[in-house]
Amino acid sequence: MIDLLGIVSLLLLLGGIGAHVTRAFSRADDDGAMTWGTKGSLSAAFAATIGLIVLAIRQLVACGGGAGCNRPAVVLPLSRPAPGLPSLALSVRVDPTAAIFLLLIGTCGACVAVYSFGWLHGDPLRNRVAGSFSLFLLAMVLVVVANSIFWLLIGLELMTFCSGDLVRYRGASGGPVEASRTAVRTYLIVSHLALMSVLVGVLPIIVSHHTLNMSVLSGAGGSPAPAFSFSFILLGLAMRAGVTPFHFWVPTVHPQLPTNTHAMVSAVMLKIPIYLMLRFFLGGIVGPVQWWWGVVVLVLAGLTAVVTVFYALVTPDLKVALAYHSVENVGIILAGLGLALLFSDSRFANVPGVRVAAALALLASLYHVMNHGLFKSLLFLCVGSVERQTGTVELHRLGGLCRTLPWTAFAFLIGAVAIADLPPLNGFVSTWLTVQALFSGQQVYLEHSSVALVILPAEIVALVALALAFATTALAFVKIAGQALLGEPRGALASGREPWSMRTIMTVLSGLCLLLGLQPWLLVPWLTAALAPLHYAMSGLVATPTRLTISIPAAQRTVQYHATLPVLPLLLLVASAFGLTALLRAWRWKRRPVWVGGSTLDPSAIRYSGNAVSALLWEPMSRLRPWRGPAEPAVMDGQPVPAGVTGPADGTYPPDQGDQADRPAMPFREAWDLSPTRSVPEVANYFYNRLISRVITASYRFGRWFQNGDVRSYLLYMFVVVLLVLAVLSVTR
Amino acid sequence: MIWAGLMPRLVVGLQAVLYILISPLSVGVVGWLKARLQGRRGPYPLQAYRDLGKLLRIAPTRPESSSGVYLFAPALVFTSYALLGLALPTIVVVAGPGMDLLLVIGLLSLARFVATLAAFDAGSPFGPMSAGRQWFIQVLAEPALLVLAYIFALSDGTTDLPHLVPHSSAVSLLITKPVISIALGALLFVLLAETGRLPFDRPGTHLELTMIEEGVALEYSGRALALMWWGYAMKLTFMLSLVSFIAVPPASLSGLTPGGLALSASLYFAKLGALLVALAIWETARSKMRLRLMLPQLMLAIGVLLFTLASVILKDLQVGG
Repeated sequence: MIDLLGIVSLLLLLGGIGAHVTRAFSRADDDGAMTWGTKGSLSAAFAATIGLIVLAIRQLVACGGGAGCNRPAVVLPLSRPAPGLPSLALSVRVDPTAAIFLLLIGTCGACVAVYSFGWLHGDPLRNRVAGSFSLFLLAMVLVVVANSIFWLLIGLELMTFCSGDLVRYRGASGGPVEASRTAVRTYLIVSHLALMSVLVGVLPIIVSHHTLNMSVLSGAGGSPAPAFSFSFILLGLAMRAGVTPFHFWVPTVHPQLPTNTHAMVSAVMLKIPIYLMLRFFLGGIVGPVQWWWGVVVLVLAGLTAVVTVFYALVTPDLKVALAYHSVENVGIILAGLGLALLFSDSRFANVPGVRVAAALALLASLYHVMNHGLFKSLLFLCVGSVERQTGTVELHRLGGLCRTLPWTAFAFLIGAVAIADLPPLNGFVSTWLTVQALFSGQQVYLEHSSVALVILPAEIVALVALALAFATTALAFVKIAGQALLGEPRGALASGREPWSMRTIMTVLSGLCLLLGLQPWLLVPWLTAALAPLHYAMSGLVATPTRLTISIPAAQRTVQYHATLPVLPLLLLVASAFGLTALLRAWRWKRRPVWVGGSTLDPSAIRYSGNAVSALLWEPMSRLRPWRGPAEPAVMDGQPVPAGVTGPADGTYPPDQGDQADRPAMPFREAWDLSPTRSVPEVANYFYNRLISRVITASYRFGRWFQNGDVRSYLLYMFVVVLLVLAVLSVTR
Repeated sequence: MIWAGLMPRLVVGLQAVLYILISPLSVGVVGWLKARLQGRRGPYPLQAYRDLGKLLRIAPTRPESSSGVYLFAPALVFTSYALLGLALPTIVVVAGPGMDLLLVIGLLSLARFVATLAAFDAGSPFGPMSAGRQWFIQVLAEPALLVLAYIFALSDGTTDLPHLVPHSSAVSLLITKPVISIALGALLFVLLAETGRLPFDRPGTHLELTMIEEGVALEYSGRALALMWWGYAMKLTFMLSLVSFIAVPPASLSGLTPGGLALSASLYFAKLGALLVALAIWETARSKMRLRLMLPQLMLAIGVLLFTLASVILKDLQVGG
């Protein structure tokens, strides 16, 4: 295990550094060296990801529930920095839980690596993208396998750093520079705030147990203040995952990425916080699970799903829309996780079915992690192909790609059905499992009336929110596919066909989506194995090639819960739909002009746009204004202060603003303009922008008051500092 | 032994075939009844089959701008709705795992998804116009349907359609659990929205600008149109059969005599007929609702369902102490 992991890491490291080095040492016009650097790096990344897949499958198959493979191995024995402090040794463990996430990284990584051969061809920044991509993969692998909190945080930081380099891509390749800078800044600020928040939550645990080793911590009894630790760790991880009050950064940052790695970041990196939640909350590091944790996570999940899917619906840019959809799917995953937390409270331990329902919810969550990884990669890679062939990702400039780019369009449609959670594709299976887990947990409140009044509203909020999200996602993809893929080709026309590497990968991913939708039993044993390190046994779900069967044992006052997802009707659906189409000889239907109400209009002139189709949903929101009129500029000393200016430009206060004075630059987008007269406000961003401008104004005011240039004030500050130091010393000694 | 394993599946398959075959009749009957109620002679109920037969003999055409989606959609829509027949115990209930209510919701959604995509593909503005309305209704109907599934999951511990209501007892669920009848009322209203009946949509309208259900199939012709139309008829029949199944569950297959089977079949047709009559009277009495008014109406339906859910749970809590 360790050998393979070492080889994988070495390959990724060499590939990453190699690509960056060839960029640094090759002349700008030396095309050959650049190309070979890129290709070498991508080949190394592909080999490494195949190694990861092999490693993950070996771990999942070899030790389904066995304890032997869960043992951590020390790979970098570092001594203690000082006596009395915990050891900083890097130990890794690839238990089945980690292996599932390695499998996800490996599968998506391999697909993106092969796809990039075609996608990066001729790109002036290809070395940088390929190199940072390899290092980014390495950082994610480190986060997943690290068994020490110290190295986990290092890994998170590396992950931020490598993906942050990729975020600069759009600005560096001729895109809007200001948006690129905002994105990088936002990304770093959010990631570091999240990291700090996690650190604050973890510190009491480390201090009270004197170790950084996660496998030791998970059996050590948890935090001295579980509620405190839970809140801060959840806050930090929710920020990184883009959960609703913090969803603002994902659509700001992610679209700046090159589209091939955008797939990786959306499909895989957003799952890393989910993985850490599993480790911290269910792995026992924070302490015994409380049911209210689940309520918090469940409500956040519902809120995330419904808010972000709405903004996904109104976004006129494909990459931004998919970024919003990624967060929506994080919501669906979190719903499963929240249910698992809810059912894992030890006070429900006497009810036999609750533990089974918890395992079911967790399995649903992990299934959706895998599914979302596959179909979101697929969708992003299709968008990448559209972008490469047409030069745009703006929805209103695309049309009729089904005829100009048939491979991409077909794969995109498969991905659209999968993400809309419709049968017979994989998204349906995992959402079916999630909803069933929600239904099957009835014993919790039937046996414990005292907590029912809190749990029940949370479950209903989550259920209604998820249902709204499912239907709205379907509408959003009808809109996107209808506008960009179907009908008459128009707007930005595709130049040439996709390269073969891209076609192959899109086909492979579509096939995987179909396979996991039609034959869920293939993945279920591995996911069951992944639950074992978290001490869940999946006894309530039986997966056979013909059906998935759930049965939750009865408690005192409830009946047995059972549900079946038959697979045969789904197979029948696919087979007979194709058969019937063949029977109709659809390809031989005669072509005729479209009917436009008997007039002589050009049909494309009166075509319905995607925004018009979704108008019934967004129009009520476009009448809603959280504020009156345009944003008020921040004002200090009678002069406006632009947001985003962080310090004095040349020692004068306030800095010279020139033309920007009357229009303060807001870092986050506040409205999506859907027509010349209608726009939908991004309510969260409105508040964030106001917060930022308030903070900046207040800090100016404080700075002026504090740095007043009077020597007596500075003497006073020094005196206060000396007093403080003395006070601290007298207390600690 | 093999016969014993095969028999239930055979019965399920036969019921599905019956459902596919009689579905045009229910649309024909409701049209005829409405015409009679309005004092017209109206087309004979079996006219639906003649129309279908005529359409099935005509080769379809396709708009110039259409792609593969347009060609594939009729088959997929028809198949999705036809598969619903496997889900529903119409005449007898076959014990053993059947189809799941969530899968049924998924199949309905899939058919709508594909049909609306095909409407876009046709390139005419009328298709997407109705597609937008359909999804607007769907966004509101989906929570209602899932909450309904939750109500049944809570009261019977399953979402398996054959086991959704206890069919062993002779007494209807409406009498043993009166609160279910409130849910059934809300369900009926949601089903009117789902199937595009009044007050949401006026079936048989000839004004493209107001179409909801028919608009997406506007560009289809010949056999393709026949499949789309037949799919719609199956959806209506399925919804009505679902309501009749919940209200008065049919007998179980095990230990059923031929006489009992005939009785059960006639019971099913009586239930379906009664619902068709009710639908015809309702549609004659109602006029079409404005699109804007659908939002509060459907929200009300969701609210009623949530109320039912709460009362189901509170009752269970109370019974347990």
